[in-house]
Amino acid sequence: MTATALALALTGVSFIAHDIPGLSVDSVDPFTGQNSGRFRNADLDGDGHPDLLLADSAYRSVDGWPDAAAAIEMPELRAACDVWQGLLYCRVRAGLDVMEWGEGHWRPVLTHDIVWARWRPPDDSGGLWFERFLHDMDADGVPEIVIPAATGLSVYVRDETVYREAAVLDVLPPMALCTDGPQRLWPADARSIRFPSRAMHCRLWLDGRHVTVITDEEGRGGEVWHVRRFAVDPRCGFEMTELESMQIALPPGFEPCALNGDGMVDFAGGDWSFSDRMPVPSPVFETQATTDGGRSIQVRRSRSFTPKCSFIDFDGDGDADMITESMGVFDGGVRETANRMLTSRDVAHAIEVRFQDARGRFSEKADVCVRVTISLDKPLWRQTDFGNRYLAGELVDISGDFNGDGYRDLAVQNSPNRISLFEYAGRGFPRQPAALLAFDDDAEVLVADVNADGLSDVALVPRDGGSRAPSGKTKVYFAQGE
Amino acid sequence: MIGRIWTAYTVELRKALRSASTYVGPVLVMLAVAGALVVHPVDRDGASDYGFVAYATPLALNLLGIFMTLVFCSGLVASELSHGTIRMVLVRPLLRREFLAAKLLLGMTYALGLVVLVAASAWGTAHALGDTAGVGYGGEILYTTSQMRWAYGAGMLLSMAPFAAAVSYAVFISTLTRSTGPAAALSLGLWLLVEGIKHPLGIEAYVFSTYLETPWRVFSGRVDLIDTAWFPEAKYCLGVSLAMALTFAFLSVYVLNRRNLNE
Repeated sequence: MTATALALALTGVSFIAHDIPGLSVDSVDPFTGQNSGRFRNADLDGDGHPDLLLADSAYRSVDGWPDAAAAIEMPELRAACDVWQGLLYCRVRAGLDVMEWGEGHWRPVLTHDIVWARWRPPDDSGGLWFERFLHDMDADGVPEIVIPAATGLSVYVRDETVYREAAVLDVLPPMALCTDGPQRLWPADARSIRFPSRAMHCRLWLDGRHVTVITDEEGRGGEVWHVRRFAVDPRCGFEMTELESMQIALPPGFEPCALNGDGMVDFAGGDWSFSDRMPVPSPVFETQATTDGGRSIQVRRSRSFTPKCSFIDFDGDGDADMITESMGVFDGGVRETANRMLTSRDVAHAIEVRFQDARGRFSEKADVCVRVTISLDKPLWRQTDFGNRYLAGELVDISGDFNGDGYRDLAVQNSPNRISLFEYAGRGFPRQPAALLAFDDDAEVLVADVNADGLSDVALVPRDGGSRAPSGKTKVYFAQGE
Repeated sequence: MIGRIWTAYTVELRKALRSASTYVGPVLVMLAVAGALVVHPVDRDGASDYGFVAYATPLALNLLGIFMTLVFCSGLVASELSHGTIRMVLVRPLLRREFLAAKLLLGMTYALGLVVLVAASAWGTAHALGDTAGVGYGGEILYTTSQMRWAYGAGMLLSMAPFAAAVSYAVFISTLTRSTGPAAALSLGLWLLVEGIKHPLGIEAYVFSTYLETPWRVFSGRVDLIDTAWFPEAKYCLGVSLAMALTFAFLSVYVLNRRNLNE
């Protein structure tokens, strides 16, 4: 695939293809459009270009692109790591290693023992793994280490040459006993008395000096969300002040998120069901959001299964806009739907954007509507991998900004080996794509800013037998802008 | 000319009303509406029953209605040719194209009759057995009764466009054959063949039957609380259907004009 992959720029934006072995890119968050990814960007060598850090290797940036030829090994540690201004912070079991890259190797900047409130490696990691534990709460340019643990939120601050635990913020809900599975009674030597497990589940947002803790419990006909927001004063020993505490009862399917910059916790969600208005049931997806603490719920419905991303800041105004998608295959009654499912490889697909106004309301009518045609490899009834991926909403991605104009652009995998990129042009999308990316084999397309240059890139993860192939073959098309 | 067409039309209409086979289609579509009650029951439970109307109308019209219209219209000219009665009809001061215009009007009347009958029976059932007081969500009425009626009424009007194309197509097939059976078989067979290959060939946008459901999109969308726009689909529906209706009408006139009716 690498040799024959072709990046063809028709107009506007162009791409440069690079193999990035080991890169793993996640799908975008459905409520923010952000791609957390299993990678980090940091300027390791101080050349002004962010380098790409993976769990097992780092790619230094050459001429603005991560270069596989300039790959460097990551430290051989079993540690949670995070990056801050070119420094690699590694939390090993018994201490902290802060390292920088220089003169061809990793040099220790700070190393000392420390007892962490919590240190638990993921099951699938044998080396480094990325966590977000660095937060500059006091805005002094030196990050604090913040770790959620059973006792609370442990904050470690740097004193001259070492980090020490400065405070444990009692903001987390208490641990609760878990229901363990049945224990074996036989054979006799397998019998044992286990300590009951305890667990705690919450969502934790750290935003400067503000800490928001969100928990949920099942309520009558839905869920009851508890939102507690605290202000922390690092200059006074991390003294906490509770800013607000509220309970919000919502129907099932909502998730907390930040849809605008009003400081309130918003909730958004979506669920699909079948409509019984046709002899052949058609899917109806319900996109829901509340931006006023649950007082009113805004609902928009479309004929679709679950789309890839339902909320994204489309126009760059800081407020998330609502994205709905409609599958044309279910449009046209039972006869036409059956006909399309049985004989048609081309499916019409519509993407609509509803802007959020200053009051947190989403437009009733679509502000932007774009229609594309996706050519499946076989009619839908054959249930091929590509067709199933279409129904799962994986082929359309409106989270990328490939030209850096602040508006989101549209990436559509409209055949198993081709991606069309449509640039937003003021009032809509042109019918002709701005760029076509063609490749040989079936691949999963993911959009993320891999080289942290502000332009979204396109990552191709080859697929093998209906599932993702090992990430060792990931290829990235780096956007070059206009 | 209009007077002659009108006279021929009234004669044809009376003839059709006297034939028992004319009533097969209307009875079947009414049975289809009644049968929809089994799958989609209607109750006075306070919930809007527009869902039944949205379910029954396309079911009765776009499956059974179009089928019966094609069968009925396929026999309009072929039966006259097979019995030789066309020679008697054309003895009167009536041109062949006027005769065809009367037949097309009769076919349209039949299609309109089916549409009105389905609409009346679906709405009547919903009114009599259920509730038709707007479509709401969470206690708020999103589409009022009046808005739903308008959407349905506009859909009825628009649905006549693809039916006009279907009538014109069937009458054209009818002019090509000499007896009713082969005419019906040919028009249905050809239609099904085109239905099967239109998507693989990529010609679906130019086939009238693709738009049979278009008139009911807005009504069905509102029932599902989906904001559905009339355009551009209504524009394509109207344009393609009327273009095909005119094309088949002209082809019918051409074929009938060149036909030796004495054979």
